[in-house]
Amino acid sequence: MNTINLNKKIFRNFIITFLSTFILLIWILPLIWSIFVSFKSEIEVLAYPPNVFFKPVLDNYKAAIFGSLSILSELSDSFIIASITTILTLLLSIPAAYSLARLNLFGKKKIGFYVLATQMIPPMGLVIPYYLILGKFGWLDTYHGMIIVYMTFSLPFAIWLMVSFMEDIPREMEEAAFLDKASRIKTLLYIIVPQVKGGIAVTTIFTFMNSWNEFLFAVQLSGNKVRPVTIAMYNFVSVEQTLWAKLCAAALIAMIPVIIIGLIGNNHIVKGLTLGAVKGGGRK
Amino acid sequence: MMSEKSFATYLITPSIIVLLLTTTFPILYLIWSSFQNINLAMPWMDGFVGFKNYIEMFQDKQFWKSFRLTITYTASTVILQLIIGLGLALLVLKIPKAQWVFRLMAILPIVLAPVVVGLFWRTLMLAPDFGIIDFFTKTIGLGSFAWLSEPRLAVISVILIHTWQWTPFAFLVLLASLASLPTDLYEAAKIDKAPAYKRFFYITLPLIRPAIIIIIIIRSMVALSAYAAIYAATRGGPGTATEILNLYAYRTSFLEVNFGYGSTLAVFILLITITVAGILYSIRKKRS
Amino acid sequence: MDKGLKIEIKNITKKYGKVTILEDVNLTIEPNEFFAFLGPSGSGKTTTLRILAGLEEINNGQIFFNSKDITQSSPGSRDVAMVFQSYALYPHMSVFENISFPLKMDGVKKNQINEFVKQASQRVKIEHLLNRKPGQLSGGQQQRVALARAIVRKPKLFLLDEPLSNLDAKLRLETRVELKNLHKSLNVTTVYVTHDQEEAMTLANRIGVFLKGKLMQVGTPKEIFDNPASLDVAGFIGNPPMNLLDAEIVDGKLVVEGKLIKNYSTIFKNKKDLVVGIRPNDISLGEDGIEAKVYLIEQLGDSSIINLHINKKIVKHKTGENLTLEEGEDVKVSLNPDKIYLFDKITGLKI
Repeated sequence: MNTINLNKKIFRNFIITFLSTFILLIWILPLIWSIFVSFKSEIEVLAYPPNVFFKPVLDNYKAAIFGSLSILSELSDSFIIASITTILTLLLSIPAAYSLARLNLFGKKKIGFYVLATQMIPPMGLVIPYYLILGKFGWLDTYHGMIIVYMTFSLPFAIWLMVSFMEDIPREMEEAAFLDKASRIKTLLYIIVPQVKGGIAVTTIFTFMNSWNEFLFAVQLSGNKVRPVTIAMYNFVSVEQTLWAKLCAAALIAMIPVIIIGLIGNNHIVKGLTLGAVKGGGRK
Repeated sequence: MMSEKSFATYLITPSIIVLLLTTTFPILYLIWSSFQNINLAMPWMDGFVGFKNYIEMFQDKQFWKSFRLTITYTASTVILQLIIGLGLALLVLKIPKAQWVFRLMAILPIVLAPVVVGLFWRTLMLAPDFGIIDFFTKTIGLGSFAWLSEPRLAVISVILIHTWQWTPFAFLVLLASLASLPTDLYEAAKIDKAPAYKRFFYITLPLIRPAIIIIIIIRSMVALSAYAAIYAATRGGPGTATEILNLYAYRTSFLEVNFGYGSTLAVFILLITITVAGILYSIRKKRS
Repeated sequence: MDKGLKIEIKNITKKYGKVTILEDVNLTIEPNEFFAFLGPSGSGKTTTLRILAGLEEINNGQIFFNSKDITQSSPGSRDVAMVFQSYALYPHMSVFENISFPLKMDGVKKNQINEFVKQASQRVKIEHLLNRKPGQLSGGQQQRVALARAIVRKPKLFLLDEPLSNLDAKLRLETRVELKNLHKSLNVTTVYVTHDQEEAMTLANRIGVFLKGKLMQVGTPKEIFDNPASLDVAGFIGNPPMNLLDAEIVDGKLVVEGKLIKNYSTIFKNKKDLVVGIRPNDISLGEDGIEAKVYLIEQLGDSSIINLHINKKIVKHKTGENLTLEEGEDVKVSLNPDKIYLFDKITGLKI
């Protein structure tokens, strides 16, 4: 009787482990395989059956960094756009969130609903008017044009994220600060902001990541002078041929920042997903 | 000391101004242009046309096809993400020691740019003869498939690509939600001799219902605004087989430079997004 | 030392929407007095404290600090310090930074800050903890940090909101003594909110009893205990509180449950709707008296409380004697006629 139960348990555990590992493999397979391919020569890539043992070469990385297909300038453009978007988003969203979360704001419910509504706008609804409007101002293919557009999705999401973090701070913190003769602005800077460091980290991660990964606005509103890295991928995919190995190398280089952020900020991201989940969520 | 009300107003005003200028104004501009003829190929035809674009839209076969495809794409990706995510979360819950691996690895698809995901799948995974999936199907004797160039398979492929990238989201949220459930309820149910499936349907499911509704809301919104992965994998092809409304509006506006009609399509996308959001949020409100 | 702060509260009313939290509160707190607000939760005592701090707006009424109307002044300008029930220590600051924060905000010079923080922390014996973060401290230590932060800038008024309620029983007794000493040495007007009668009785010079949003009675601990002004106060003060039994006067005789208690000659010869209050230790069990049934016996160690059923009402009898009673037993109860309080059931006032 006991042995049967034990066997049943071992069998059950085996099934669980097998199934979940299988799904785990599917998750990481494309990424793992792209790492393999990125070290292959373009000829090796086309070998059939796909080759796991081969002589690794660095040619693809060299080409993606230094060669004629270098993505360095795209990387720097993405970095500039994503960084400035993140900084502006933080500067605007923190005070706004404090106002919405904690203060006696006139029309608070309506303003909160408005912010939530702006977050729901599908990007296709914005890319068309932005193409026409930015074109009129001559702001297509500029840093400020891209940053303005990226604020449209980062700011509403950031405000809601920060609101949910600020709501967790006990009211007595501010009351104690007022009794300690701190002004409203000092209370915000010295008492509130340091206590939402976690929220600022989550907001920074999501804003930077979403800006870095954005594609639709980038493909239409940027151009030759300013070109985010998500567009650079298309250097390697043309009608005549696809340079698989170089594409993989470039894509991996481009994705290294977000992969590192993702692995290091793992807990922050899960928190952001579940919190954002409560308030309406992010988008890519 | 400054009054609380005026301080609150000072703090929120910059954000509201930015949002009004960057989101509300362009949307109004979009609505305005949906009533215009704006065609860069025929600029002499430009001007106010009333509901002409809307009438055209409802008579447009490609519009209805894209609309149906958008609904199919949204519904199937959301349902698949939920079922697979929940199944995996329940499995991983049984192996507490390995949970951290899954939590860490689940982040990887999420952080990748959708355009990169689309390109990876188009080349490494699904390309005939060279892709891994094709290699597997051949190895197990099913033969080679034209995953992205056969219309029916292409639709399935883009649905699977989206599901692959975003199931980790549902998984992570559900895992967190399941892990926070009170254990005494289950102990009580075990004492009451409730079998496992009953415990699942009568305890687990009702308790994680809020998380499920939230996942449905967020994933629907994201699926409705999906663009990059499909664009990278198929560009809406073969033909217009995978051209969801977003891609159709994009093609109309930027390739056929018919911005008036493109705006009309975008307004329609905005309307279905609002409708779906409204329905889902009212369900959520009722339940809570 | 300059004269302490005198507080006058006049006709204060506070509402949340349609719910009245505080109704027409009037009170004068004398300079350097240790004054306790006593009442159950939801009685309005904490709200009154927060109104003194300037943390709550009021719908009606005025507050005077030394005859100066400060009703509209902001919390920071009132020169009051408060110890919150949750302590409200700033979690991201060290103990030193917490204590020095009010000085920093007040623009005190750096070398003076160090000096003041040192004095305040020595006073509450936490000078060895200055570099820690609040999260690394025990509940008792956190409470001391909150005290230090409050006393460091020598406020005119010291507000304490249930400061001992988060401590365990032993520490609570120790800290109570220290608080009393602290008040003696600081000599600052202090308002102390508590739901614990014993705390209020031992600490305060005077007590204000809050019930259902009203200030019911103000007096010294002894006055409140010996002379409850109304039925509500009588039913709240004491551990356990007074027993309240329906009574009437018939032909100049006070009658409870059909039994004569004593002759009672007042202006009325006959009166219905009266309530007799009697403390649990002023009841005795004997051969004669009101019929009762033993319902439950609570052993307290040095004494016991016998719960009796009199006409479906529970009456508590506290005794140090070791009685051999059994639950369910029938007994006769007599009330000490000299120790009874008489209230009007309709108005609730003492007669």
